[in-house]
Amino acid sequence: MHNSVGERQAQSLRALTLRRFLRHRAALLSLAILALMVLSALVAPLSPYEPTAQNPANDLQPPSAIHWFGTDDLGRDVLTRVLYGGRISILVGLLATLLSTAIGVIVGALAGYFGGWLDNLLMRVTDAFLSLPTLFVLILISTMLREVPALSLSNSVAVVIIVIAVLSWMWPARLVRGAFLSLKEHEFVTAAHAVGVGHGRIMWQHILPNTVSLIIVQATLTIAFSIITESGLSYLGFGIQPPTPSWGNLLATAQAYALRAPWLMIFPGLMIFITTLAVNHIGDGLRDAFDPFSVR
Amino acid sequence: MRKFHGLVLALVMLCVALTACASPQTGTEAGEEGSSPSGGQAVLIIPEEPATLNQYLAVAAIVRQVADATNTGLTTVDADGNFQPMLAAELPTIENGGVAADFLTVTWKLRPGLLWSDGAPLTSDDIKFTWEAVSHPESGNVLSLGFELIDSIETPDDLTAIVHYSAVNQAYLQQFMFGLLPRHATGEPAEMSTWAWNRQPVGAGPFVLGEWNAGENIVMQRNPNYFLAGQPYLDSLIFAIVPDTGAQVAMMAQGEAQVQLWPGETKEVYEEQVAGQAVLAEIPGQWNMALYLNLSKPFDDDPSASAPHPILGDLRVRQALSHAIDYDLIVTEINPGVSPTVSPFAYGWYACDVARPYPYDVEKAKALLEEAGWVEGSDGIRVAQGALHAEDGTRLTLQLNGYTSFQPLAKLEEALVEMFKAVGIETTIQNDDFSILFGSYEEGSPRKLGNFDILVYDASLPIEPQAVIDNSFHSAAIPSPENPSGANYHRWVNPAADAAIEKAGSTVDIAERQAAYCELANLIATEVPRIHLYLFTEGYGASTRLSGYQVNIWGSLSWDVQNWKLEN
Amino acid sequence: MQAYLIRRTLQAIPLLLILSILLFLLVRAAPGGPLAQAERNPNISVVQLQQLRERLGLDQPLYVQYGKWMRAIVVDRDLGNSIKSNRPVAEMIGERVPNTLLLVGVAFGLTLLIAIPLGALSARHQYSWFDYTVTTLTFAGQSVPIYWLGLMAILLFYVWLDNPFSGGPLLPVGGMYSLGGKRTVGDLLWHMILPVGTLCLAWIAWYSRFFRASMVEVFNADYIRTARAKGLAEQRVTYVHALRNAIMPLVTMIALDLPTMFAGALFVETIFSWPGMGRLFWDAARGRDYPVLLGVILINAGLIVVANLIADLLYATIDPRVKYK
Repeated sequence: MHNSVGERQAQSLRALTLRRFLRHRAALLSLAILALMVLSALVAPLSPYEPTAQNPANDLQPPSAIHWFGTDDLGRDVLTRVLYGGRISILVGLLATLLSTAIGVIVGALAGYFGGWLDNLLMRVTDAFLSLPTLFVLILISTMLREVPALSLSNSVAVVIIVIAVLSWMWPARLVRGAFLSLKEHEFVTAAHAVGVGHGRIMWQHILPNTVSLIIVQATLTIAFSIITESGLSYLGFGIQPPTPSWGNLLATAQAYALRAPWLMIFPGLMIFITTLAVNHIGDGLRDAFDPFSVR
Repeated sequence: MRKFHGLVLALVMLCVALTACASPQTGTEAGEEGSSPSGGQAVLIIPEEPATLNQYLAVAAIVRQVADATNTGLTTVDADGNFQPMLAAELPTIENGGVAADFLTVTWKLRPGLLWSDGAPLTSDDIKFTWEAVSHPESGNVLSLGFELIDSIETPDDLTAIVHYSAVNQAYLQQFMFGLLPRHATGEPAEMSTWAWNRQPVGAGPFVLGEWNAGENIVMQRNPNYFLAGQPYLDSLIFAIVPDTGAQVAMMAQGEAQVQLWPGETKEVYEEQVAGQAVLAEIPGQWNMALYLNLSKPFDDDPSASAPHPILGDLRVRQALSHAIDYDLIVTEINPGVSPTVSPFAYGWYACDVARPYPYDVEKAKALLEEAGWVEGSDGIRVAQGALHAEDGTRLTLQLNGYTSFQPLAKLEEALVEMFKAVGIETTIQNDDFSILFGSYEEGSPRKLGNFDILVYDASLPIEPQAVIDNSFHSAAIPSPENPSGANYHRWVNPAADAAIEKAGSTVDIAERQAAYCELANLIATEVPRIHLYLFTEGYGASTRLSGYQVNIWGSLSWDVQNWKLEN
Repeated sequence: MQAYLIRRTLQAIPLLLILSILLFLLVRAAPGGPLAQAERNPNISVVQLQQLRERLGLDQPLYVQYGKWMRAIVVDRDLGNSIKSNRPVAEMIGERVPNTLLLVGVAFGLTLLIAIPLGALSARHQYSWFDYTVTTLTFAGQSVPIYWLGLMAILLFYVWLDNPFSGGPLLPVGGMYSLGGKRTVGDLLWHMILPVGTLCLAWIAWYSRFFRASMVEVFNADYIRTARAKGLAEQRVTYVHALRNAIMPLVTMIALDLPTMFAGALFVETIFSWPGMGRLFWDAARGRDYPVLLGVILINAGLIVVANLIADLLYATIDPRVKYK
């Protein structure tokens, strides 16, 4: 066995974390639910209905044996659209979070580690983004991006991902900055400096790994935020453009029929709710699992 | 006990019979008296707040809906499109000497005994003041009614105003329709945009402003000095500002409100939603939904018609588009309840009956596309092969550009996507905010810059259409940096159309003008710079307790509010 | 410390100035303009439209328009007049601010009243069934789009459920007071139930969660263990020591969140027709009513700058390890 003592300790730490997570019942249940959601989104093509097949004569039918979630204002099967919508919404959630976290980590790390004027500058930029009226950021970015031909494939999806990332990177940035501010004063960093390790390596290899748990937990919150924001964007007309379904634009259309066909609102809303709830629980479980001080 | 009940029943029936016999009159003819006020308070739901009650400053359509209740003008237009005298004793015509033979002098006679809502007498001097205020260059007036054509107004006595024109004003009857302004209660003409009167008007309308709770509601009380004795029948009006449609319908269904402006639903759906508490009073309206095709190349930083659109530049493709649309389905299922149209001249004195030259015919559409050099690709979408203006290999993809937050439009667009897909056209939807789509050239509006394939929106023509028609179809009206206010968005250049437009603008003869417009209508239908679809119905939700109202596309919500009655 | 305070305060002024330029450019760079409705109105001619544009100064270069706007603010303390209604912006904002403050204030007060005890108890009894229930409920509140919640609330309380006494709807959904009735406090409170409830649901979720985490962190700190070891009663440990220390990060969070809370109220104000600042901003934004829009945005930005300053100061006082050069 060539494992050094350190590696063996790391292994058992990972095992310990895993065990702690597995004991968090709600998080486990949520993981199962989330897996179910993703699975159902993946099997969407198995539906006997096309998501865009219109049948206007059959519009606004309540849930029945042939249409489990009913039909919408153009006679399309709601269940199929909800499943296909899930693909887009979950995809957008994941990618937007990835982008947002990446930006946030970079900004936060630089600000927290170097401090001084860089910190000041970056934090003021963060403040500026926080105080921007989001509607105008939306309008501006989506109209600017629309002119870029390279993004024309699934144009609106790319635009929505970028917009959500721009709206949410500030929180991971603050978090990471705070963590770096504290951590850089610790002895192991001073030691690394003393030995002559460069800044980049210190940030990347020494400090960052200690913030991973924070980042992951924040990322789960961001996924939830992304899914809800995507629906908000579609409500305003800036999100995924019809006829491609997303949970958000399904809700947006449903609003006009709220009194007449409430199932149009209820099902997509429920899907958003369950998915977001599951993601939040998982994040909670992860946070407790990573926390070395948790009671159990 | 039973005898007592029988007596009460008999009394009740007697009262009912008596009331039925004394049938109330509901006319608006001058001098006719209405029956005694029925009293009551009507709540009218409006989706946004009017910025002002001064119609001359009104940019948004909502102002007129509310302001007509507080101010009345010399004339009004009834539901049939005919002018009726209101504050004027009669309409000036050539026969009664009101209009001079050269059309350059018009004499208005007021009814005797008119008062403003604050009790001051309403005289011909107020007509003169209205002209002075509205025509002042700094007043902020936005309505184009020809006030600049007036040389002077004489007021030989309190009831007579003689208007002298420098040039013929075809719209003289409309001139003082939007309300008179009182000299004694307003201020300097140059400061009209900041008058206190704008938020607290003194008018000659059936109601007077009571309270204006910003953002919430506007409360009005009966005007005791209204010129029609015994009217208005209602005691008060409350215009409730409720932006959310769900909440609006809920309020109607619960009987909390009696009128809902612009419900945006079909009759059956609406009446079902309000569970019998209200009906949808509607008539074919003025707003004409059409597809505007860009005949020139989009997204090339050149707003002019210089380069043809690679796809839509070919007439055959445009004809195919027209054949691909299932017009019946749209009118019955997609946006049910609308009235089909083929041209912009769908109502008023200039209405033209044009047959649709390219009706719904999927096979014809496919054949035309093939002929035009668009062959079916592997995924069902056509690809150019020997097309007139497009390089080989170009996909037949078009973008539909409408405006957001309007469900019927969104539904129409999605239906069109399917219809076009059936003939091999791939369509994407890209809706813009209202203020973007209808913005100016400098503000980057896509329709001004020519950055679109197909626009979808509704537009309307005023009662005097020449200026709008000229600016929408003449080849000189293409928007450009030199002519940013041009509205020939389709970039259509057609000499015959130009000639027809010029003919309609050159004469006063109604018949000749109408013939010219119908010629234009035929050209539009056959050359397909745009495809007209339907007219929205206009109207409002009205409580079953409300009576005496009549929907009028030339008027507003409150154009006849003095005739409304509420039962209990 | 003091030097830092003075420095940050002085920094705020150029920051606000730069922000004002950025925001002005951002708003104007977005396509679209304030005269779209005029464009659509068939009674307004092209000539009139152009005159209107000139009268509003919209045809002048951007830097001129910015200069005029800034000068009016700094010299005359005048935020200008609305393009749509020609009323002074300051007056319009002044009318709406109390309504939003009322809504947000009451909702926030309720939130704190409920969230802090919930968070504290959850932390005390970590992993108990109580904790799990509260956690699930709070997450539930965070997992719904607020406008959906509002619409569902309308469906439930206005359309489906009836008032057992009057037979009418259970709760009102429009405006601040009943139409045509007297504007009493009771009526106001009745109309506040649904909008405040909708707001609270989301906020309680967030804050109780945050406070729980904060308390948990504090509970595991050394000084708590010391207090317990000294034999202090558990209650005293919780309420005196832990709570006091956990409150600080919460206050920081609140200071940061307060300005953005007004944005959250926006959807609620629209759905329940509440005449507040959020709706003013929204209508002005969609309609590009620049003076109103910029006025609201500027005030909002100012509030955020101040809030961040306070938050940073608080943060510095809590954690003495954080050095500020």
